[in-house]
Amino acid sequence: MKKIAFTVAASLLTILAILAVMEACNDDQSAGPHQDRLYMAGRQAQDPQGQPSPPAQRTRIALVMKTLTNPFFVEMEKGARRAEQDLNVELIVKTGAKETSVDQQIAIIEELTEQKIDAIVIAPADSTRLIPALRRARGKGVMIVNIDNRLDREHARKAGLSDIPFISVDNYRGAYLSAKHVSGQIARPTEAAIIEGIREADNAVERKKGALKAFRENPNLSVVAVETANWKIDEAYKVAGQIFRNHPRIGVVFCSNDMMALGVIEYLEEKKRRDVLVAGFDNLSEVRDALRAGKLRATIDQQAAVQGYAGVRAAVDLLRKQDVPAETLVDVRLITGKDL
Amino acid sequence: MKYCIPSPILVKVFGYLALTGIVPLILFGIISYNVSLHAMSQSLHDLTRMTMSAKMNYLELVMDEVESLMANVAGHDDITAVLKEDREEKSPFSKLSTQAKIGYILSGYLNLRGLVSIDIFSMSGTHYHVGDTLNVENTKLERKEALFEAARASIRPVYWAGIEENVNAHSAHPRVITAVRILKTMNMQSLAEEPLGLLIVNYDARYFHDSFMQDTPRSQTYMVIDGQSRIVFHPDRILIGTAVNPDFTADLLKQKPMIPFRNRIGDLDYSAMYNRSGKSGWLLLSLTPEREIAAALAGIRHNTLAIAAACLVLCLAFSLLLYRNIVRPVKKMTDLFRKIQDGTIRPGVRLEEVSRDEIGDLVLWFNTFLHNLEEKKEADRKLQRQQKELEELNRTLEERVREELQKNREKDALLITQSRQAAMGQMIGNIAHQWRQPLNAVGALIQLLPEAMSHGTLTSRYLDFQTRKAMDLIQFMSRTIDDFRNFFRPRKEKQSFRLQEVIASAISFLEGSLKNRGVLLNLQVQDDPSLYGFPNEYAQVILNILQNALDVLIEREIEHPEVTVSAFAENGKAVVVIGDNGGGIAEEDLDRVFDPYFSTREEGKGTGIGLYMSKTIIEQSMAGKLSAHNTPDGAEFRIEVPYES
Repeated sequence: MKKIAFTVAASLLTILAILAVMEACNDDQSAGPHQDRLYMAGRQAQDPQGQPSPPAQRTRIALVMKTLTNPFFVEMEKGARRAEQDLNVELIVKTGAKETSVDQQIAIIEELTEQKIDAIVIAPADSTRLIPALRRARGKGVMIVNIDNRLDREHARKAGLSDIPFISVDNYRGAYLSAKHVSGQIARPTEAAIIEGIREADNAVERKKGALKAFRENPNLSVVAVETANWKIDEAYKVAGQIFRNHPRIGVVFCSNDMMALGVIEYLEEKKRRDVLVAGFDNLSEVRDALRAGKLRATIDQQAAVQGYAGVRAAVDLLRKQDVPAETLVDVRLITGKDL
Repeated sequence: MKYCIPSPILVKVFGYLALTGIVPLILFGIISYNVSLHAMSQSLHDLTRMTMSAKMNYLELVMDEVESLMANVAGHDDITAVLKEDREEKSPFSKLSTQAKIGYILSGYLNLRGLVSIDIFSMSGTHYHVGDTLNVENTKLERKEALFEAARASIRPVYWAGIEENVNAHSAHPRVITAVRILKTMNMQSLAEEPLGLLIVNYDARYFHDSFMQDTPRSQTYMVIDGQSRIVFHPDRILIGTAVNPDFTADLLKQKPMIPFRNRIGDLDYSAMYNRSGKSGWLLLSLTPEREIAAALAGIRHNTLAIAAACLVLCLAFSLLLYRNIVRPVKKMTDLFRKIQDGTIRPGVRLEEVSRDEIGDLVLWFNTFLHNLEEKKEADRKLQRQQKELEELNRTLEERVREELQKNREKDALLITQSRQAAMGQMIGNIAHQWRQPLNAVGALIQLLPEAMSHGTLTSRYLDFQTRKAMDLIQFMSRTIDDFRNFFRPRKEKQSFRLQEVIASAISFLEGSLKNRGVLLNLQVQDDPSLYGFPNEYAQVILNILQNALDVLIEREIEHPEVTVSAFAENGKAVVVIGDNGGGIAEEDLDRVFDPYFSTREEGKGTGIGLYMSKTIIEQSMAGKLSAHNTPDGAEFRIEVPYES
């Protein structure tokens, strides 16, 4: 009796064990497709970690420029990109749509601050309105480098941003050189006009001052119009129309940048006014034909790429806690038709 | 070594323990492992499905946003107007101002997060661009042409090219997720659609990676693969943009979407699931290494094995304990039993007491058994010795019996002689009592004769008278002699006789003695049955009892000595009861009065034979019964003899 019970129990257990093992093996029998390898890349992928691969821990520096339509900033970006390569940082390039897109620049700075960017190299569209946003960024530990257009010193000081390094050209001197070149060619009384950039921008102010100084040095010249076209080519075209309708005898025009000069030249072309001397600023590649043809008498190479490079460099130095000069001025060069 | 040979019971116990403890445990482990595996796979599949649809939703959402952006750009009147007036020759002013114009428009769309660039190429090749770089030099025109052709071949308005080389060489994103749309216009003359230009939107693959990566279960790999088997998304960023094995995607598409299936890649098994984007035809794929599930369940396996191992150790320990506490004592016991059987056990050997349980009891009782066994052996030895002695005794018994018999015979002879002598003595005494008075009378008669002679009164008549008188007396005496002789001569044959006659005969012998001693005799004879036997012997018994009573009455000097003799018939028996008032027999002597040589009288006075002889006569010769007991006054003897009917 005992033996029978034992045998029954043992065989039941054995059957159970076999069932369990079969159950375990069951899944293996339904084999799916099989590949030797999944990835064609030479590098055999390690087991996926299931986590985002850590982003490259490179210093992230943003270059914030004024507009995407001015080739000057293309040059500036090129220089900054060289610095990106040389200094092994990650460069993020942001621009406002237009030269007047100050609010867009503010939004860009806020977004960059939010993204915990390491440093911002900014060419501010406005010398004062950007200061609060920059101050907030600075408060979050973002290094700020000012290029191209200087922030308003008084406001910057009040906001505690007086230690921000500034890199630009001597706008006053550049404007003076450019305007001096055309004013020097005037020997009889002539009306002159200045088309300036955004009036709140420090570089626009400096350039206007430099041009005025050059024009005033020539007693034959009388400045009859100082108007702004906000750095824009199409606006300059319209402003030129207004000025020349009011002052048809204007013989000299200084434009605070080449884009505006191109707008003025377009207008003069249309009106077949070949006698007007136009001076510009920025030495865009697009003005070379005009320089050759004498439609543009002078422009200023402010070495945008050098500025861009220097801006990124200064930002890196700041992040590395190295001393950065409060002001770095890049050389300006007068470019005329003879230089080509 | 005997420890090396496992005891069968130990093996069995270990086997049972293992069978009832470890095997079910392992079975339970296997079953729970499988059930957990199944449940875990199920929940993993559910999780995968949820994650898959969430991710697919995200992918399609991004695509929706991009497509809606592209639709807006494509429908922008200023842009189509510029593209329609597409001319090869342009002044810097018109070129720059158009660039600015379109730039302003496109810039408004650039705020979609993750967007790298928006590029529009006119049919003549003019490039309008907004994006992460302003520098549009060295545009990769062959890529642009390839994208244009691919978009043309696509049936959907937006062609999702996949992870592509960025057409903008100076962008910080060399590989981008590219969507392409051909901008078209209706030719009013031919009423056919004509291409105006190409809109390319590049989306940041890294941004997509980081967003897409969110909420991804740790153990799983999710992948997005574009139409050309290139990886759009992969947790490992390095693989983004590289191709997957085309066989893999081909095999994948043979399976049903959103249904998990097993896929073996290299040496590893994966649980795979895929889904296909309706907008782009891209594949969203999830791979879950099955060993991850197994690894998650390793706890069950390890714990089961650990517990099983612990159980095994416990089983071993328990078995050893069992061996020590049960098997070893039992073995020793068996050993001792064998020795007992063989007779080689040494005396005094005891089992060691191990525990206070049943085995302990067993050992205790075994030891007791050993002890008893030894005692029994000792007793056996004694018995044997006694047996031997007994046998010796038996051998000599016959001789001894013979000797004893001889002795008894001699004793009996002596007894008989003594009895006879006693009887003779009594007879002589009785004769003397009987004769005293007639002798005196004869003497007086004789003395009277001379006197009569002298007085002259001696006449012949007188002499005759006297002589006759003397002769009567002498005859009486002679008759007495005859009577005694007859009485004491045993009769050899049985004969019938009357009870009353025998009682009277017996009393007559003692009449003289009774009278002399002043003993009152009460005789109450009610019946007179006829008995069959030996009348003399019977009379001798009555005489004997009366004599004893008389002796006691005299010896104890009783004041009014009295003897009562009653005779009656009762239940077919003639009963004679003889009682006295002599004070009775001592209680302790009552049982022994009929034993031979038992006498309470002074030494030399009693023979101790009388009652013994009486009992022998009544009970053996006449089949009756003689008994003695005490009455308040004295002793009473009862003689019962069956009478003739």
